[in-house]
Amino acid sequence: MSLKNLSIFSLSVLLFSVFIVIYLNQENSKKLKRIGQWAKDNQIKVDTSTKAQKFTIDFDEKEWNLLKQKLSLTRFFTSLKDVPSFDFGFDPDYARELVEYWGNKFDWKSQVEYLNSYPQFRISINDTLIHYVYYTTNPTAAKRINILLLDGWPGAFFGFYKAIDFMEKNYKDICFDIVVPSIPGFGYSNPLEKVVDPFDTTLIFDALARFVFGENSQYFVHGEDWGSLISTFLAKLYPERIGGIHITMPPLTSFFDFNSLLYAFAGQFFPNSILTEQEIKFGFKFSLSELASLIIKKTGYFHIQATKPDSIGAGMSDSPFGLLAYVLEKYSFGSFGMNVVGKKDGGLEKFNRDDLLTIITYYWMTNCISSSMRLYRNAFYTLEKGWPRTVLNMKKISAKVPVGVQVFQHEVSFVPFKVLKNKYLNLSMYNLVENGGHFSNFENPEKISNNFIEFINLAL
Amino acid sequence: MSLKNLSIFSLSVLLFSVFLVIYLNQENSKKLNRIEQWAKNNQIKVDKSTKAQKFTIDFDEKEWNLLKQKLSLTRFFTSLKDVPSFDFGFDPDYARELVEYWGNKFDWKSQVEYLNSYPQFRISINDTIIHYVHYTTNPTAEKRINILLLDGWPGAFFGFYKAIDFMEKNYKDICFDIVVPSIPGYHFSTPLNKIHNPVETSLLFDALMRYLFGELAHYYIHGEDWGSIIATTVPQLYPTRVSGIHITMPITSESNILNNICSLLLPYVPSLFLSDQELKHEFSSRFSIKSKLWKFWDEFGYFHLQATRPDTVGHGLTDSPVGLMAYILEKYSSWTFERLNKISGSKDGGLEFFNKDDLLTVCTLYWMTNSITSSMRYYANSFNAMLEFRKQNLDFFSLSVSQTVPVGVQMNLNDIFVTPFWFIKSRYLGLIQYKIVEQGGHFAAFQNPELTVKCLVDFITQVEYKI
Repeated sequence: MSLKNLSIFSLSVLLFSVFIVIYLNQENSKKLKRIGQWAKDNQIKVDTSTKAQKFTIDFDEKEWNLLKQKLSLTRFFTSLKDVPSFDFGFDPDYARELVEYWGNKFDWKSQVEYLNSYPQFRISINDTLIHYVYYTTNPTAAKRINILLLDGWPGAFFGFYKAIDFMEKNYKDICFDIVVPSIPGFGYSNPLEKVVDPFDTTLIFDALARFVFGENSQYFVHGEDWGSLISTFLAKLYPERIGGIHITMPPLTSFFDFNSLLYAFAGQFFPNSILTEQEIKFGFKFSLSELASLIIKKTGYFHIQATKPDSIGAGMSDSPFGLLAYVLEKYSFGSFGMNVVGKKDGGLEKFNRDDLLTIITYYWMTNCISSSMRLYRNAFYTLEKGWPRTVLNMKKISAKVPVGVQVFQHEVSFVPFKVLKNKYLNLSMYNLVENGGHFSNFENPEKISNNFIEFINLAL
Repeated sequence: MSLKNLSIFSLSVLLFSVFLVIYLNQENSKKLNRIEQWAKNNQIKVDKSTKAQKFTIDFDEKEWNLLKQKLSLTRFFTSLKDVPSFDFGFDPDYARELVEYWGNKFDWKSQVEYLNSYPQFRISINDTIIHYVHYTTNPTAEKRINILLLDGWPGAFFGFYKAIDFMEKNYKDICFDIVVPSIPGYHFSTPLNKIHNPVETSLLFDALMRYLFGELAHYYIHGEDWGSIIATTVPQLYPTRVSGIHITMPITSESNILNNICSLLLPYVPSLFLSDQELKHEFSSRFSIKSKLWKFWDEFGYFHLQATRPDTVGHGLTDSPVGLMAYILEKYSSWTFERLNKISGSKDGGLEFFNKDDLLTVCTLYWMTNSITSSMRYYANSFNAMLEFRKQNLDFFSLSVSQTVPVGVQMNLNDIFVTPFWFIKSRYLGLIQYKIVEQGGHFAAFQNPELTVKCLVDFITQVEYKI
């Protein structure tokens, strides 16, 4: 049996089984109406005693010296001579080059100043520590819009700084009230010593929004990576409050249903039939074999993080070099796709080296790589907690909440417009962008800002 | 679904399968012939100029001090308070305890002496360095058996030392000529700077045996983990040379469609497929598709990552001793003990069962030879090779092993997967021994040297005295 046929067969069995599960879940469809009521009842109370503390990042000289000491002791391994670079993962020779720079030329102190250029706070909600940026652009402008900017893994809150700056300079007639929280377990939303999954995070972020913007205020959400998933959860739980969600990566897990299965089957044999002209031009594919290929080739990290995050976390909490290679591999493949194979630098020289190393140093200084990876496991095992977690992912987003989707060419996963429409009943914007990748705020701050604001104006 | 419908459905499926089996068997023999031809053409010449060098492991004081320095600088992270320990992987609190011991009490120098207690050699065959132990037990005994002992990942050659010792002391009437090679890229079979896959390893190890025992040599193979895969491949290549194979990890998942269909039916009519013993040990639930898929999900994250991006995870493991230790020892925990009762919530993940020095010697061996990444690349190489070979119609990984090659299976119940006799026999046609080991885990000889040797020698005895 050829591997292709075997993959199709196996995937069909898997999808069929998933379908059975989903069908059984949908027996709960009568109870779906209860979700709105549940959401109201279980809203996290934000009372007047809740206080946010101002927060500034310290330049911890002792920790910085320890990092440099560890870097100087780095032990390397050799690359394989007869394979293209990056074919087996992060190239050892290029890694060595980056470590050299990191330990000897990178100026963390200046970077800390940069990270502190927007006001930050910390607050405890539901016994969970949340770090966030809160900034208001053009405070005297007449039009006022509340927005939440959500990132994912392995991103960072300051990835949005350039976007915030762009919005301030280019939209002087709008006052954006911007909150950029870090997911519990990420960065300064630490320490976190209990299980918090994306669903819990959704409730917490909504509470934060109510704390900052006011109890009944409307707000818009822009979400990337995990932020995209959390955005869809917010839209499903609190449709009256969410003015609209703008996402770059429609979560594939929301589309494990019979409808998508049919499209994937169709896409297997008649690939163009399920795609728009633009999607075809971009070379996107949606089929069983494409999904199988994605799952097999690209989700190794996802698999281990969703099952044994602590086993892999030990090395990356202890070795800055290990952390760098593991995380920057995502910035390489995630931004440029498989084109990076054969490139000495995996495409990374396109980015500012200091920007990349700031992300890594931030993960290092907050010692958060393990807690950030645990999110994957928490997300996966969240279904064990039962309703409403078991149904929320599959629920459609009501027509009350506009959804804007902006997909970059090298995004990690792809769901066609025709399939999205089935779940996002008010899909008001759908744009494909050439030459961009997964880390949109990092790589294309202007494009996402413009598109997000266009989306908001359309919704209002 | 009513019983009547189920019966009709099952009967149709069965009939269809019968036709399929006949068709596939014919395909099977054609493919096996193709493999044997390929094996003849690709047999590695072992010429007179090939020489093995005696090898002794050095106690490298400088490297040992660097390791200790890194250990003293270890940075940890905190465990979650509201979940059982080891549920998220290797517990950080226990990691801290082991690191303490490793850096302050573990005596690497003595361990090196222990590692050197059996004679070792290194040889270059086909431009590939192979390190191996070669030891002869009871050299004056009449009965002479050549045997290859193969382990896998994350194992180490000295894992067989206690087994070898037991073989020597308890079978004084047999002279075992034992070879324990390390897979290229593992430990002292380094450096390895090119791609290398299990079929190539099979060719190499066969060449090694011919180098040591002559061109007409016959030998047995005991294989665990990757060793089971190599032990399965060598007789596909050279069936007449292999006297018999004894394995702990039979591979049957792709052998034929009939098996897969029967796996679907098994949970409904288990007694049709399973022996009483297998039923008693709950094979019906463990071997069901649902259970296997779940196990695959739960335990194979490392496999998935190593088979696609080994270098990415390799950097951290090469540079951080605790990283290496947590990653490796998690396997010694989850593949040896039953999860719910023994691992989840325990302080040590069950690892106190093992000798702490033994476990840390495994880790230190990977560390000192800087071989963790090359050992993990084996997974990516194998995956790619499998696709390549399939294109050439050389389906090593799914074709059967000829009936002429006796097979013994040691089924360890705490191992990741269990496979019933019936399913193994459909691929390993010469299956003559099948022993279930109740508290046995994945690292058979390391955990249970005596039991493993008994299974192995029972098998060999059966083969030797039946012929």
